[in-house]
Amino acid sequence: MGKSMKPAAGKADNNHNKKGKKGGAKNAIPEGANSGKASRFTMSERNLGLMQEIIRKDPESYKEEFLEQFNYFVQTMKLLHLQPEQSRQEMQSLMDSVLFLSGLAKHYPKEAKQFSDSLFELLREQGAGLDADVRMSFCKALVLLRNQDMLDPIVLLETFFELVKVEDKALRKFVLASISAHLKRVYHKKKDVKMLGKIQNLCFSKMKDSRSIVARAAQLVCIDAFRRKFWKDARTANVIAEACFHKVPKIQVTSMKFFLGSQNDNGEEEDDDSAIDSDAEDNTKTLKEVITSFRNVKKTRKRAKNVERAKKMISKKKKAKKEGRSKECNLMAIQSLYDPQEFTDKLFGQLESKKVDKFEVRLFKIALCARIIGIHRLHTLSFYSYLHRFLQPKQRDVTKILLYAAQACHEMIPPDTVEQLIRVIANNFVTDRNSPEAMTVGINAIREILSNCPFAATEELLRDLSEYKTYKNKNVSMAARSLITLFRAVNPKLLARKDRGRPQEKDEEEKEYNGFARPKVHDFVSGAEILDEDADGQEQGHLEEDGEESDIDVSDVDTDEVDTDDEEEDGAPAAKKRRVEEEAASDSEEEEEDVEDEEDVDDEEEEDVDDEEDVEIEDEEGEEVDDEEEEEEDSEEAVTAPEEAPEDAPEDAPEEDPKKKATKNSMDRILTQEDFKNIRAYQLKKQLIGEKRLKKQMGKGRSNADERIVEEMTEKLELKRSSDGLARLSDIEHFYKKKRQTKEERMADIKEGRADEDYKFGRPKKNGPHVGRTNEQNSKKKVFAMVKNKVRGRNRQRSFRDQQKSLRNYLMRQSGRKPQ
Amino acid sequence: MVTKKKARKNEDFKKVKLKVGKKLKKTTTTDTTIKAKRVVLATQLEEKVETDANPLSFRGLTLEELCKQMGHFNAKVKMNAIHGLKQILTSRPDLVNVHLRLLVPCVAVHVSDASFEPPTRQNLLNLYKILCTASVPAMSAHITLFLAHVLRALTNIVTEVRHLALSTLSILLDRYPSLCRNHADLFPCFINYLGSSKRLPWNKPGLIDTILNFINVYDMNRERKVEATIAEISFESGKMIGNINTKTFFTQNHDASPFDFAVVSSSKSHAVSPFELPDALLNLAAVLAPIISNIVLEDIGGLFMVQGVKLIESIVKGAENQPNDFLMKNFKKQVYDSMATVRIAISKRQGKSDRFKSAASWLLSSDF
Repeated sequence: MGKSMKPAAGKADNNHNKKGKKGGAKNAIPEGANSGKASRFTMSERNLGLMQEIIRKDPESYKEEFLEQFNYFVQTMKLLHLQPEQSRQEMQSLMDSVLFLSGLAKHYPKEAKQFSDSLFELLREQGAGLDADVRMSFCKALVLLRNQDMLDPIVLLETFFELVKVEDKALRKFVLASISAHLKRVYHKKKDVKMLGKIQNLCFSKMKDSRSIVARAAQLVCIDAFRRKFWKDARTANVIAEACFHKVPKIQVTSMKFFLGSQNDNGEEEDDDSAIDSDAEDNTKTLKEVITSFRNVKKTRKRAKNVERAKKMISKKKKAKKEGRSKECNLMAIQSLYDPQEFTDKLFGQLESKKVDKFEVRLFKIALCARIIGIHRLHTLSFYSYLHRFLQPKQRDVTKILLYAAQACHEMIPPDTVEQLIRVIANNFVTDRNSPEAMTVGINAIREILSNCPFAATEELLRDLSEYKTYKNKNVSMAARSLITLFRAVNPKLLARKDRGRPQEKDEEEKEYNGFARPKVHDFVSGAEILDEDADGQEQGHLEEDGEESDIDVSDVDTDEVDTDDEEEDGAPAAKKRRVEEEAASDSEEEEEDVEDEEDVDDEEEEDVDDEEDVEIEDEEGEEVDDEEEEEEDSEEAVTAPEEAPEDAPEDAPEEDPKKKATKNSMDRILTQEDFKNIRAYQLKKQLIGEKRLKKQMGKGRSNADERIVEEMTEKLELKRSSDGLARLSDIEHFYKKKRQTKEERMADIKEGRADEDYKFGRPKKNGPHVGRTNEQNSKKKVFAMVKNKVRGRNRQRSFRDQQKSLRNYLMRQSGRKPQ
Repeated sequence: MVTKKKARKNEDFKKVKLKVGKKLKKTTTTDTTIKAKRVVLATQLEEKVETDANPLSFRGLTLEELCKQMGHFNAKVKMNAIHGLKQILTSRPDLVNVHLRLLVPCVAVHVSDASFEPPTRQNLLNLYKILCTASVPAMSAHITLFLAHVLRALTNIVTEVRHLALSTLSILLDRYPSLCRNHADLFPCFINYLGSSKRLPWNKPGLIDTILNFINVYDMNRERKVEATIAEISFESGKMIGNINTKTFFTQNHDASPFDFAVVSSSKSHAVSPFELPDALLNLAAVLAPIISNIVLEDIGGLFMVQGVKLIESIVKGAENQPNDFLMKNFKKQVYDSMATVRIAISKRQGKSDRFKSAASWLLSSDF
């Protein structure tokens, strides 16, 4: 310190000299340095915040003031070393000076170093013994320094991980929050990959720490970083996966929850984060906007109320967003496991071992096993027989276990294993002895399992189950019907004859497997038949023809359908189809144009040509439509002769065999991104048609309920194809007839709905002649007869004494005594 | 104002409050329920007995209670506690030594208490004076904490607190020079204080005296005599060769704290005074120079003449007799330069300046 003080001393020296010369003769004048400076900061002398502002403006010349505070801090730290326990009041001044110094440290790097070192030292040595507030203020100061790059973030991280040991909830929270904020900073602002890697390594090593609380903190950091995409890589996922085998159950559960997500069981669809974000940005104001706009208007009670409500809504949304992140099932994390088979075996080994966990923990383990088996298509065959023991209607959380059973089933499991499982469920749940709820749940579960591995179904079982379609309970019968519907689509042969529905033409494509372990081998990209055959031609020409072709193909499919259509229904669907076609055509045209714009903007002539061609195409389309109409007429006349259609429609000429064409297409050329786009669009269209076909299968006597089943089914199939393909809890717990809600539930629903909307009931209307007037003013406009009684009441108010008197008389009479 | 007695008298004639839905009581029935309440006071009002070991203040509080009250958040309570402590300790001076362990932590904290009124501060200072009547060995265990509090208060932002700390420090320096000498931080901290712009003005009473006390503590010029003795200790055989009495060796300094263990080293240097370190002395000189020059120039009446002369003498002596001046390049020249203001001041002084001149003869005569 002695050295650092030298310049300051010199400065003081000069001051004295000046003063000395000025007031040489006068003895009484108090010494200069003090009074002269005092006037400069009379304001700031006792107020550290104010002084901080002054110093920040000119750090060089106010160094002395800073050093004074710094000395105070140093002395206090020495005192703290001697006597860690101090009264609150003493600590307040220390906290103030720490705040002051940390705010100014960036101007004085040398002192900043000493400052941070002493903070580190104290935190390390006496971290646990310090006063909670002081500890927190130290940590905050250190974070501030780190944000200004005044200290090594790794050292700070290590100190933080040490501090996590201290039993101080607020501190732990702060530590975790600050680490994740730092990661965000590094990731977004600095893009410092090296630093991110360093921090990652540190966290990974801390996860193996023997102290469980430290390991847990590191785990939380990792999970948060993974979710927020700072470290969204396989390495992090695997380190978190390792923590599933930690000796402390709490850590295990956190890891498993990370992989499972909490919401996914309930089957609610989560939007992507980005979508939510954009929505929020578009529709609602930010909190800041709301508050500033309130600041600038006249304050009325109503506006204040509105602001309060808006605030509440915003914070609610924020919270929901934050929670939503943890609710997602972490598909990517599960997919990036290095060795899922070993992981599952290990996890399942834990389940099987004699060690008794809590049931909740066990449930998590089962869930994770099932999910990984389902996603990676693993073979852990003893898992299914392990589940048998839980499959009882009285079992706690049985629907969840059924769900996990369904999730663990996939095409690669031997049918006999699954058959056993299904038999157990059928025996335990689907009997008349059980409650209808149990039966419904059981059938639903069987349906889910069978939709995952259809080859496990036996004719006998299926026929037994389909008997329930006439069961007196609506829920059970509908569940049985949905099972039948599933098999109509998957394998109608297993159903009883009457259940099969109308006979269908075989649709060859789509199926991945012919039987168990007999995958269908494709020698072409399915759907490639829609692409044009000659890839040699001009790019544009090719694209155009391509579009044409796709139209034609779609119409092909449609005509297929037309063949099987009933006559009466013909009109409406045909029109619809045409619309679909036109849309598709215009879509493809638009795409073409886009492509052209990108590719050759300068070639205006060519564009002109294109336009002409477009017109031509439209003409052609018109013809097509005509052709089709003709076709339909034909079909009306002769349903049995669909093969004549090609003759009428020359454009449909490459009708030969779509399969051959697809093979040729996919072998002869390299498919571009554009091609795949077309294929995908085509396949989507096909799916839509599949729904119609299913409905048609039902025949004429179908009810609304049947239609609903079909819709739900197609929805589910789509969902499966688009996302992780796992069953949801809502599928298992699906009841056709909803249970009657109790009054409390209804009220809760109402209340929840009311919070969102800005409700208008029970409050004065916004517009009308009375708006902006007080009730008194309003009453003046009223007819006197209306307010007469009120006015009369006003001048007839009784005094307190009179009221008491009459009340006493009344009470006396009541109690059987004589009134006085 | 209705007294209790009146209220009781009027009980029968009280108006009955009437409320809707509450039935009137029948006049013929008698309420026979009995309610009894009792307040049990465990210790608070227990009679305290004044014994020899446990004296009471005027307000009947023991020493422990008073010490507890020193930590109270209310300034009034603290003030009363200070009064009480002062009163007990003045009446029973022998207790200071015994209860120092209790007293120092709770009293020393308040050096830096900014919430006190000036009279309370004065009282506190008096209390410190009483505390400092403790014997040197008794204080030796607590001086570190005490000094730490005082030095912290010296850097406090509030002027009054700094003044109080300075006066306290002066007392401590005066009373326990040997203990203060061993405190590592005291020297740099005090130099810091002298160098800061917020120290006491030079002509306020207290500052110069404290500086003199401070210099006295460290100035070992007169008493220091180096005795070089050769001794050889072989730890393997556990024998010691050389004419040394280990007993006297370890108990040489009678004032030394029992917690200071003598260290056997090649050279005897149990307390290196900062006066023997060139840069420490240089700092001191730089800090003192403006104060001395102020004394020389402005103290016409000669009020501070003696002290000024002493200050100059001590610095000059320290510089002249510096044993370790080889540690710093042209050390004497630097001291000379830092005292330049003093030289100029002496030459400009109106009035008697003979004594200054004689004291600063080294400064004036030598030439670099």
